[in-house]
Amino acid sequence: MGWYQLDALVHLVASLLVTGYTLFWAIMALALGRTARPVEAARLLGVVRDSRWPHVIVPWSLRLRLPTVGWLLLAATALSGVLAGLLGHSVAVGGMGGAMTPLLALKLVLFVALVAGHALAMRRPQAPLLYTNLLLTVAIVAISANLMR
Amino acid sequence: MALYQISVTLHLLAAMLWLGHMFVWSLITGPALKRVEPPRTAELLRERSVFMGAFGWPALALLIPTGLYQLAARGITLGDIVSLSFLELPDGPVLAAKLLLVLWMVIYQAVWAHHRAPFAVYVNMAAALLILAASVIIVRGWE
Repeated sequence: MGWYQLDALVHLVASLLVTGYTLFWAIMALALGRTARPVEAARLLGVVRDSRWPHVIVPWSLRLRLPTVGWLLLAATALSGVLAGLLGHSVAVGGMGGAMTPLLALKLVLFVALVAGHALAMRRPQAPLLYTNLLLTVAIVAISANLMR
Repeated sequence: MALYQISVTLHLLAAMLWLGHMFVWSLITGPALKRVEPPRTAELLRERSVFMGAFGWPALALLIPTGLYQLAARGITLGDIVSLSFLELPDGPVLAAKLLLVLWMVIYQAVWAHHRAPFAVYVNMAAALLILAASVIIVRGWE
Protein backbone atom coordinates (compact mmCIF):
# COMPACT_ATOMS: atom_id res chain seq x y z
CA MET A 1 0.00 0.00 0.00
CA GLY A 2 1.49 3.36 -1.04
CA TRP A 3 1.71 6.45 1.18
CA TYR A 4 -1.22 8.09 -0.58
CA GLN A 5 -3.46 5.05 -0.07
CA LEU A 6 -2.34 4.71 3.55
CA ASP A 7 -3.14 8.37 4.19
CA ALA A 8 -6.52 7.98 2.44
CA LEU A 9 -7.26 5.12 4.86
CA VAL A 10 -6.25 7.25 7.87
CA HIS A 11 -8.45 10.09 6.55
CA LEU A 12 -11.36 7.68 6.09
CA VAL A 13 -11.00 6.25 9.62
CA ALA A 14 -10.60 9.72 11.19
CA SER A 15 -13.68 10.96 9.30
CA LEU A 16 -15.59 7.89 10.43
CA LEU A 17 -14.71 8.64 14.05
CA VAL A 18 -15.73 12.31 13.67
CA THR A 19 -19.05 11.12 12.20
CA GLY A 20 -19.57 8.74 15.11
CA TYR A 21 -18.62 11.49 17.57
CA THR A 22 -21.10 14.06 16.22
CA LEU A 23 -23.75 11.32 15.93
CA PHE A 24 -23.18 10.39 19.58
CA TRP A 25 -23.73 14.00 20.70
CA ALA A 26 -26.89 14.34 18.59
CA ILE A 27 -28.25 11.08 20.04
CA MET A 28 -27.50 12.27 23.58
CA ALA A 29 -29.21 15.63 22.93
CA LEU A 30 -32.26 13.88 21.50
CA ALA A 31 -32.43 11.22 24.23
CA LEU A 32 -32.03 13.64 27.12
CA GLY A 33 -34.34 16.22 25.53
CA ARG A 34 -37.10 13.64 25.35
CA THR A 35 -36.83 12.31 28.88
CA ALA A 36 -35.55 15.14 31.07
CA ARG A 37 -36.67 18.71 31.72
CA PRO A 38 -34.64 21.31 29.74
CA VAL A 39 -32.59 22.41 32.76
CA GLU A 40 -31.84 18.82 33.76
CA ALA A 41 -31.08 17.87 30.13
CA ALA A 42 -28.60 20.76 29.87
CA ARG A 43 -26.96 19.70 33.15
CA LEU A 44 -26.65 16.09 31.99
CA LEU A 45 -25.16 17.17 28.64
CA GLY A 46 -22.59 19.08 30.71
CA VAL A 47 -21.87 15.90 32.68
CA VAL A 48 -21.31 14.02 29.40
CA ARG A 49 -18.98 16.81 28.21
CA ASP A 50 -16.92 16.51 31.40
CA SER A 51 -16.59 12.72 31.20
CA ARG A 52 -13.08 11.48 30.57
CA TRP A 53 -11.38 8.99 28.29
CA PRO A 54 -9.85 6.46 28.59
CA HIS A 55 -11.64 5.15 31.67
CA VAL A 56 -8.85 2.77 32.77
CA ILE A 57 -5.04 2.51 33.00
CA VAL A 58 -4.27 6.23 32.53
CA PRO A 59 -4.23 8.36 35.76
CA TRP A 60 -7.34 10.52 36.17
CA SER A 61 -5.46 13.80 35.67
CA LEU A 62 -4.14 12.63 32.29
CA ARG A 63 -7.50 11.41 30.97
CA LEU A 64 -8.95 13.51 28.16
CA ARG A 65 -12.30 15.25 28.41
CA LEU A 66 -14.62 14.33 25.52
CA PRO A 67 -14.25 17.75 23.80
CA THR A 68 -10.46 17.20 23.70
CA VAL A 69 -11.01 13.82 22.07
CA GLY A 70 -13.25 15.61 19.55
CA TRP A 71 -10.52 18.17 18.83
CA LEU A 72 -7.96 15.40 18.28
CA LEU A 73 -10.29 13.62 15.85
CA LEU A 74 -10.93 16.85 13.93
CA ALA A 75 -7.19 17.57 13.84
CA ALA A 76 -6.43 14.06 12.55
CA THR A 77 -9.07 14.48 9.85
CA ALA A 78 -7.71 17.89 8.79
CA LEU A 79 -4.05 16.79 8.79
CA SER A 80 -4.69 13.57 6.86
CA GLY A 81 -6.86 15.56 4.42
CA VAL A 82 -4.11 18.13 3.79
CA LEU A 83 -1.57 15.33 3.42
CA ALA A 84 -3.86 13.55 0.94
CA GLY A 85 -3.97 16.76 -1.07
CA LEU A 86 -0.16 16.99 -1.14
CA LEU A 87 0.39 13.28 -1.85
CA GLY A 88 -2.43 13.28 -4.40
CA HIS A 89 -0.71 16.03 -6.35
CA SER A 90 2.61 14.22 -6.28
CA VAL A 91 1.20 10.95 -7.63
CA ALA A 92 -1.43 12.65 -9.83
CA VAL A 93 -4.20 10.38 -8.64
CA GLY A 94 -6.86 13.10 -8.67
CA GLY A 95 -9.94 12.97 -6.45
CA MET A 96 -8.95 14.18 -2.97
CA GLY A 97 -5.59 15.26 -4.32
CA GLY A 98 -6.93 17.16 -7.29
CA ALA A 99 -7.04 20.92 -7.83
CA MET A 100 -9.36 23.21 -5.84
CA THR A 101 -12.88 22.81 -7.21
CA PRO A 102 -16.09 24.52 -6.03
CA LEU A 103 -17.13 21.26 -4.36
CA LEU A 104 -13.81 20.95 -2.51
CA ALA A 105 -14.05 24.62 -1.48
CA LEU A 106 -17.56 23.97 -0.12
CA LYS A 107 -16.26 20.97 1.81
CA LEU A 108 -13.53 23.10 3.39
CA VAL A 109 -16.03 25.85 4.32
CA LEU A 110 -18.31 23.27 5.94
CA PHE A 111 -15.34 21.78 7.81
CA VAL A 112 -14.46 25.22 9.20
CA ALA A 113 -18.13 25.60 10.22
CA LEU A 114 -17.93 22.21 11.96
CA VAL A 115 -14.81 23.29 13.85
CA ALA A 116 -16.61 26.47 14.96
CA GLY A 117 -19.72 24.45 15.82
CA HIS A 118 -17.68 22.07 17.93
CA ALA A 119 -16.03 24.97 19.79
CA LEU A 120 -19.44 26.50 20.56
CA ALA A 121 -21.13 23.21 21.45
CA MET A 122 -18.38 22.17 23.84
CA ARG A 123 -18.51 25.47 25.73
CA ARG A 124 -22.16 24.84 26.47
CA PRO A 125 -23.69 21.71 24.87
CA GLN A 126 -27.12 22.54 23.42
CA ALA A 127 -29.34 20.39 21.23
CA PRO A 128 -29.59 22.77 18.21
CA LEU A 129 -25.80 23.11 18.00
CA LEU A 130 -25.26 19.37 18.38
CA TYR A 131 -27.82 18.60 15.65
CA THR A 132 -26.20 21.20 13.39
CA ASN A 133 -22.79 19.61 13.90
CA LEU A 134 -24.19 16.23 12.84
CA LEU A 135 -25.82 17.78 9.75
CA LEU A 136 -22.54 19.49 8.85
CA THR A 137 -20.70 16.18 9.18
CA VAL A 138 -23.24 14.37 7.00
CA ALA A 139 -22.98 17.15 4.38
CA ILE A 140 -19.17 16.91 4.39
CA VAL A 141 -19.31 13.12 3.94
CA ALA A 142 -21.84 13.49 1.11
CA ILE A 143 -19.59 16.02 -0.64
CA SER A 144 -16.55 13.79 -0.12
CA ALA A 145 -18.36 10.93 -1.83
CA ASN A 146 -18.74 13.15 -4.87
CA LEU A 147 -15.09 14.21 -4.82
CA MET A 148 -13.97 10.60 -5.23
CA ARG A 149 -13.39 9.22 -8.69
CA MET B 1 -26.35 13.94 -10.02
CA ALA B 2 -25.90 10.58 -11.76
CA LEU B 3 -27.38 7.45 -10.21
CA TYR B 4 -23.85 6.14 -9.62
CA GLN B 5 -22.94 9.25 -7.57
CA ILE B 6 -26.13 8.93 -5.52
CA SER B 7 -25.26 5.28 -4.87
CA VAL B 8 -21.70 6.15 -3.77
CA THR B 9 -23.03 8.91 -1.49
CA LEU B 10 -25.57 6.62 0.19
CA HIS B 11 -22.97 3.83 0.50
CA LEU B 12 -20.45 6.12 2.17
CA LEU B 13 -23.02 7.76 4.47
CA ALA B 14 -24.41 4.40 5.63
CA ALA B 15 -20.91 3.07 6.32
CA MET B 16 -19.74 6.21 8.14
CA LEU B 17 -22.82 6.48 10.38
CA TRP B 18 -22.96 2.76 11.24
CA LEU B 19 -19.25 2.14 11.75
CA GLY B 20 -18.66 5.57 13.28
CA HIS B 21 -21.38 4.93 15.86
CA MET B 22 -20.00 1.45 16.59
CA PHE B 23 -16.36 2.56 16.96
CA VAL B 24 -17.00 5.73 18.95
CA TRP B 25 -19.51 4.16 21.33
CA SER B 26 -17.48 0.98 21.88
CA LEU B 27 -14.04 2.61 22.20
CA ILE B 28 -14.58 6.18 23.43
CA THR B 29 -17.92 7.42 24.72
CA GLY B 30 -19.28 4.19 26.20
CA PRO B 31 -16.17 3.62 28.35
CA ALA B 32 -15.94 7.36 29.24
CA LEU B 33 -19.52 7.37 30.55
CA LYS B 34 -18.76 4.37 32.81
CA ARG B 35 -16.73 6.57 35.17
CA VAL B 36 -19.28 9.38 35.54
CA GLU B 37 -20.23 10.05 39.18
CA PRO B 38 -22.55 9.12 40.76
CA PRO B 39 -22.85 5.61 39.23
CA ARG B 40 -26.61 6.06 38.88
CA THR B 41 -26.05 9.00 36.50
CA ALA B 42 -23.46 6.94 34.60
CA GLU B 43 -25.99 4.16 34.18
CA LEU B 44 -28.69 6.61 33.04
CA LEU B 45 -26.39 8.26 30.48
CA ARG B 46 -25.14 4.94 29.07
CA GLU B 47 -28.69 3.67 28.80
CA ARG B 48 -29.82 6.91 27.09
CA SER B 49 -26.85 6.86 24.70
CA VAL B 50 -28.10 3.66 23.07
CA PHE B 51 -31.82 4.41 23.13
CA MET B 52 -31.95 4.38 19.32
CA GLY B 53 -30.19 1.01 19.19
CA ALA B 54 -27.43 0.31 16.71
CA PHE B 55 -27.63 0.99 12.99
CA GLY B 56 -26.46 -2.40 11.68
CA TRP B 57 -29.49 -3.68 9.77
CA PRO B 58 -30.61 -0.33 8.28
CA ALA B 59 -27.03 0.35 7.20
CA LEU B 60 -26.61 -3.11 5.66
CA ALA B 61 -29.96 -2.67 3.88
CA LEU B 62 -28.36 0.31 2.11
CA LEU B 63 -24.78 -0.94 1.83
CA ILE B 64 -25.46 -4.26 0.11
CA PRO B 65 -27.67 -3.03 -2.80
CA THR B 66 -25.58 0.11 -3.37
CA GLY B 67 -22.39 -1.97 -3.22
CA LEU B 68 -23.75 -4.45 -5.76
CA TYR B 69 -24.87 -1.59 -8.00
CA GLN B 70 -21.42 -0.01 -7.88
CA LEU B 71 -19.79 -3.35 -8.73
CA ALA B 72 -22.19 -3.72 -11.68
CA ALA B 73 -21.18 -0.23 -12.83
CA ARG B 74 -17.57 -1.48 -12.79
CA GLY B 75 -18.58 -4.50 -14.87
CA ILE B 76 -18.87 -7.06 -12.06
CA THR B 77 -22.31 -8.65 -11.90
CA LEU B 78 -23.88 -10.82 -9.20
CA GLY B 79 -23.31 -13.76 -11.56
CA ASP B 80 -19.57 -12.99 -11.63
CA ILE B 81 -19.54 -13.02 -7.83
CA VAL B 82 -21.46 -16.30 -7.55
CA SER B 83 -19.31 -17.99 -10.21
CA LEU B 84 -16.13 -16.48 -8.68
CA SER B 85 -15.06 -15.32 -12.15
CA PHE B 86 -14.31 -11.88 -10.68
CA LEU B 87 -11.22 -13.42 -9.05
CA GLU B 88 -9.45 -13.21 -12.41
CA LEU B 89 -9.68 -9.40 -12.38
CA PRO B 90 -6.68 -7.38 -11.11
CA ASP B 91 -8.55 -6.32 -7.94
CA GLY B 92 -10.35 -9.67 -7.67
CA PRO B 93 -8.54 -11.04 -4.59
CA VAL B 94 -8.97 -7.73 -2.71
CA LEU B 95 -12.66 -7.66 -3.61
CA ALA B 96 -12.99 -11.30 -2.49
CA ALA B 97 -11.45 -10.40 0.87
CA LYS B 98 -13.82 -7.46 1.21
CA LEU B 99 -16.87 -9.59 0.36
CA LEU B 100 -15.83 -12.29 2.85
CA LEU B 101 -15.41 -9.67 5.58
CA VAL B 102 -18.82 -8.18 4.72
CA LEU B 103 -20.27 -11.70 5.05
CA TRP B 104 -18.64 -11.95 8.50
CA MET B 105 -20.22 -8.61 9.51
CA VAL B 106 -23.66 -9.82 8.37
CA ILE B 107 -23.19 -13.00 10.44
CA TYR B 108 -22.02 -10.91 13.41
CA GLN B 109 -25.07 -8.69 13.04
CA ALA B 110 -27.40 -11.71 13.01
CA VAL B 111 -25.75 -13.70 15.82
CA TRP B 112 -23.92 -11.42 18.27
CA ALA B 113 -24.89 -7.80 17.69
CA HIS B 114 -27.71 -7.80 20.21
CA HIS B 115 -25.93 -9.83 22.87
CA ARG B 116 -22.99 -9.16 25.14
CA ALA B 117 -20.02 -10.48 23.15
CA PRO B 118 -16.91 -8.34 23.76
CA PHE B 119 -14.53 -10.56 21.77
CA ALA B 120 -16.84 -10.66 18.75
CA VAL B 121 -17.21 -6.85 18.89
CA TYR B 122 -13.45 -6.36 18.57
CA VAL B 123 -13.20 -8.93 15.77
CA ASN B 124 -16.05 -7.06 14.05
CA MET B 125 -14.24 -3.74 14.37
CA ALA B 126 -11.05 -5.31 12.96
CA ALA B 127 -13.12 -6.64 10.05
CA ALA B 128 -14.56 -3.16 9.49
CA LEU B 129 -11.05 -1.65 9.34
CA LEU B 130 -9.93 -4.29 6.84
CA ILE B 131 -13.03 -3.59 4.73
CA LEU B 132 -12.14 0.11 4.70
CA ALA B 133 -8.56 -0.73 3.65
CA ALA B 134 -9.84 -3.01 0.88
CA SER B 135 -12.20 -0.26 -0.28
CA VAL B 136 -9.34 2.26 -0.47
CA ILE B 137 -7.28 -0.22 -2.53
CA ILE B 138 -10.20 -0.94 -4.88
CA VAL B 139 -10.97 2.77 -5.44
CA ARG B 140 -7.45 4.27 -5.28
CA GLY B 141 -5.29 1.37 -6.42
CA TRP B 142 -2.50 -0.39 -4.50
CA GLU B 143 0.18 2.27 -5.11
